Amino acid sequence: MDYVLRTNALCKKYKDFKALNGLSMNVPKGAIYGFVGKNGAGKTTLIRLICGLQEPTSGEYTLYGKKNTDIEILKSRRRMGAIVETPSIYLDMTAEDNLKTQYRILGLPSFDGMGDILKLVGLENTGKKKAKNFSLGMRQRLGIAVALIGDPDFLVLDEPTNGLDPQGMIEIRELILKLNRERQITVLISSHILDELSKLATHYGFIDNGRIVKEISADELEATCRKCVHMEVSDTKPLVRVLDQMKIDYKIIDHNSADVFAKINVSRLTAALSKENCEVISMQERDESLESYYVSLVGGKSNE
Amino acid sequence: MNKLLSANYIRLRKDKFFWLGMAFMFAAGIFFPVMRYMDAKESNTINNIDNGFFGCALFIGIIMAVFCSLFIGTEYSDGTIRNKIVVGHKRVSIYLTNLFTTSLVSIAMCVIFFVPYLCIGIPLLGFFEMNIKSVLLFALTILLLAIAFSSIFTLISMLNHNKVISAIICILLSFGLLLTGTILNKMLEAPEIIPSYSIGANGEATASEMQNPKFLDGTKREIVQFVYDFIPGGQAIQCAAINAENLHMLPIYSIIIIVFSTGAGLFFFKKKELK
Repeated sequence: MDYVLRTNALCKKYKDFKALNGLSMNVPKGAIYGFVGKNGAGKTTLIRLICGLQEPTSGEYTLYGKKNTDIEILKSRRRMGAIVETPSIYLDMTAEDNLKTQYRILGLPSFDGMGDILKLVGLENTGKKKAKNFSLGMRQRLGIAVALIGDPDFLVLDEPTNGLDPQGMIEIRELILKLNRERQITVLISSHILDELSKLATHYGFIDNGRIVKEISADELEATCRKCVHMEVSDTKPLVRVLDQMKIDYKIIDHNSADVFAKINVSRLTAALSKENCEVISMQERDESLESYYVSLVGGKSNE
Repeated sequence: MNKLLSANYIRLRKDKFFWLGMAFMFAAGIFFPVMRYMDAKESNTINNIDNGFFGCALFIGIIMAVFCSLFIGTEYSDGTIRNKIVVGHKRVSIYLTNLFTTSLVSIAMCVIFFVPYLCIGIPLLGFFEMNIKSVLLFALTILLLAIAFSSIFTLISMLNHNKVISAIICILLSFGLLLTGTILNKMLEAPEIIPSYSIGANGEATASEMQNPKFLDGTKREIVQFVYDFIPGGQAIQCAAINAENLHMLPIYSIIIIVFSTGAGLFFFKKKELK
């Protein structure tokens, strides 16, 4: 698998505080990588490091295969766009002037494609309105527009939906999905709004206390969080026979327990198991969401 | 660096503080010679163009303090400095581009004062009385002084995240430097001999001369003179008054300030942790 970004035991210390503590993560090419963690977990610190705003205390990362200590990383950075915390835009300028400035920063000879980018983020009709008079959502979209100049392959978005109203959140989400699907842009998106992330991400990295506690793809997560009935029985062999006869999907956990992935008729199942001399000890419905999965990983309140 | 300069040029065109500063300097370039001409007419004295032509030295520091802190501070307050780093520009290039921009602006500010002053001043007040070499040397000193001010304020603004704090530090420093220059000027201008009056027992007043205790001599005078020549505030006072004992040294001191402040700025900016 090709990776856009890989970090290896990355550490960042601010005096005595360890913001990152041996963080290792892998962002696959083409993914929307949801970077999940509570406030202060180290999300923004990592983003600052990979954007070159700060240097790691120890550890390393590679961006498009170039190590952070390699001078060539500057070339890799030209392939990325980022919004760190707040959109980086000149508030005293119009949307168009902001984009023109970024075109010049990148050394692009003309402003070709500027209209398309403005249209893509829905800011084509802002005219002479200055960015300071934009709504938060518009500023966020302008920030993304600035980050999109130069056709980056990798977009880093630090909590892009923070402070947005529901409509603004939907707009940003649709924009990110569009960029990923239509332009094949790899997106690293940090957020603590799990519900929002679950609608976007193809991969997740859960961060807590400066280290990744779990990296998982959305498919794996879906399988893990699949709605199921957890059964405890005297023996799983007869259970397997019965479930196979009933053509029900299941997963054997051990000799006495299994997860059954279907809405089962309890009376029919227990009757069938009874015929096989199998006792049902307990049945529990499980419906794990991204939120509960996250809480189970980082320990919820007790960990705060 | 060309890319960053081009981006700064777009910003400059839209920067209201830049245009305000230019408008102020242009207006001052017209106002000063006209006022001198009217003053000369009213008082029946001869006022030549020399006096006041280098007066911009007094406020170029203050103007550049405001401009540098706001122009560079905006990069931090709006977070746009990140856009430059994220796309792979070197910190050295970012720093030098901003220094180059503020230096060019400071030169433009001086030029926009000099040009109308000459255009209006020569017909009204006549040509320079001092030799052209001195005029050019004073002009060069002022231009380098303006760049020295720019490099100091660029250093402060590039190393400070907070635009307001940068502006306060730069403005206070510009006034502080001018005030220091004025104080040093006063110390050096103190006469060696001052008149002394005494009244005798019979009530008769006698005038004599005595050594001024405030007069500086020896090493003390040399140190004060050096500081007066070295600091931009002292140079500004000397240029405005067209009275510089070591005029040929002032541009060299400005270059030293530019080199050292830029070196320090680059060193610390490279290590600076940006947010």
